[in-house]
Amino acid sequence: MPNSSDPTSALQDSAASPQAGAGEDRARLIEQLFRDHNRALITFLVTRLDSEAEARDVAQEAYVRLLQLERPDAIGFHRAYLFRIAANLAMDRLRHRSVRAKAPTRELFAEWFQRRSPEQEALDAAEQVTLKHALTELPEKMREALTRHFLTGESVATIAAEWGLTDRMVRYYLARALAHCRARLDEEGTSS
Amino acid sequence: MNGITLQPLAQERLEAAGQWWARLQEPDISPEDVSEWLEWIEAEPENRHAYQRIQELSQRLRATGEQRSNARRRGMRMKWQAAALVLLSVAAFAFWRMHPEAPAATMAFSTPVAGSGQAPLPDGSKVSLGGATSIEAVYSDASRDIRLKEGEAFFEVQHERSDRAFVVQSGSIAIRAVGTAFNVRKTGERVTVTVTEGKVQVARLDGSTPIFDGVASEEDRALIVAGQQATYDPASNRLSVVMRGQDAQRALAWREQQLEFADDPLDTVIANINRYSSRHIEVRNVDLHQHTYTGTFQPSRLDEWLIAIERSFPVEIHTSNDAVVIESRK
Repeated sequence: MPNSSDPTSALQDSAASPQAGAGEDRARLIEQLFRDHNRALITFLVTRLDSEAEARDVAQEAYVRLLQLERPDAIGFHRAYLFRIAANLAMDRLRHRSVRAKAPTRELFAEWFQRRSPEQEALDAAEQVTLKHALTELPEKMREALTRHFLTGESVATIAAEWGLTDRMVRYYLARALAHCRARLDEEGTSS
Repeated sequence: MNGITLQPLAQERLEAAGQWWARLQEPDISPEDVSEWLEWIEAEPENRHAYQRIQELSQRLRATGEQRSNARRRGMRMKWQAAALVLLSVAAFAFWRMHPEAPAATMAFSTPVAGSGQAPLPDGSKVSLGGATSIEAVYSDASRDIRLKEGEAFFEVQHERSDRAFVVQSGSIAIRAVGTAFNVRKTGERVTVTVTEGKVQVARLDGSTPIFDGVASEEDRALIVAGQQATYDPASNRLSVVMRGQDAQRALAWREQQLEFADDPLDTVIANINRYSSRHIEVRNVDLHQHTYTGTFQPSRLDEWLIAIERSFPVEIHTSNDAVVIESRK
């Protein structure tokens, strides 16, 4: 698991408690889930939270919740359930975050800086040139959606409302635009 | 890349990854969708890779957008300024790299009141900007020209084998340096240069040309070394040089969130403080130029400083939450 912190350590602590049989089984099942799907879970959460660090926090919390689950039936350990818990936790975080974002503080800025990981670095100059060119090759709506959402920071909902489209449609435009720009950047070899 | 068969396949995969990325953001995504996506992403390593490339691009685009808007934003705190500065230099590089044949690369950096930040220059030299400071850098094959339009900046100059001159122009003077470190503070038309390392040549401008070479009087040109400070006084239109010794380092105190003044006219002092204070100090009906001030100022201790000023000079000071007025004492 190169891409994650190791929540199993917390799990092992719990498993070592005198709770005996069922608890240990449960820990083992969760460990299995972690082994099989943790990378995907982190990826899933990064998409929803747009933050690597928060994604890991939430993932860890999701495993803990799963472990503390009252119902001992196997359904609780299905991966879909893990993702459901994680999605709910992520949603809570997003709500919490939008409240804080309305009252910017220095602490928030500091956090913003800490959150920055290499893959969140802005495009360098050469990449920006390639991007600019790639955007000219896109249909107007896709180009505009990408620019307004990512670069200007407008929400999908805002853009959708203005254009009289569904959020889903705007996301579709964004996805197409991203795929195109990604391909162009890769071709140029300007992006590692 | 021409005719490599993997290419269209990669494109398709990226398209699919993009669509998954969009679906995964649905606020009410169904467990079935998540399962389906899991099957897809865990089916082949290339799928996972494509998905992560899309996700990474979305994050980096956002970061690019954030940097851009930070660069435009004013009145934010220190760290934001640093980010903005980095971005401004990036924008300048873009221009440079796009037009390698272009004769010069122009970069502009600025900070708001109470801000500060560092900007890397293309030759490895560094410039730290104080509050309400604006500089422009023009690099060409022949020279490194900086213009300090207002405010205060500390330059750490990278020596170059080609001896490409590093020249800072500010108000009516220019400073030429080779592998050295110095601070320039411009307050109105008054400019003070303090050298902390190496040496620089300071010259008055004749029109727009500095009088570095040829015949010139001491008042027009001076060679100043570490520990010395040269001040251009617009009233007399001349340069004066004083030895500050260890005190020269105090000219850099602004980098530690405080300002040091030594025999500076009080109006200059106030103008400098206004570059760091969140409350603007207004001077009314009183000529502060005749008074000189020596001492320290910390932005966080503005009120105490004002009390001291009121005691030391024939002035009355009125303060409110967002403004300070200095008037002649009645």
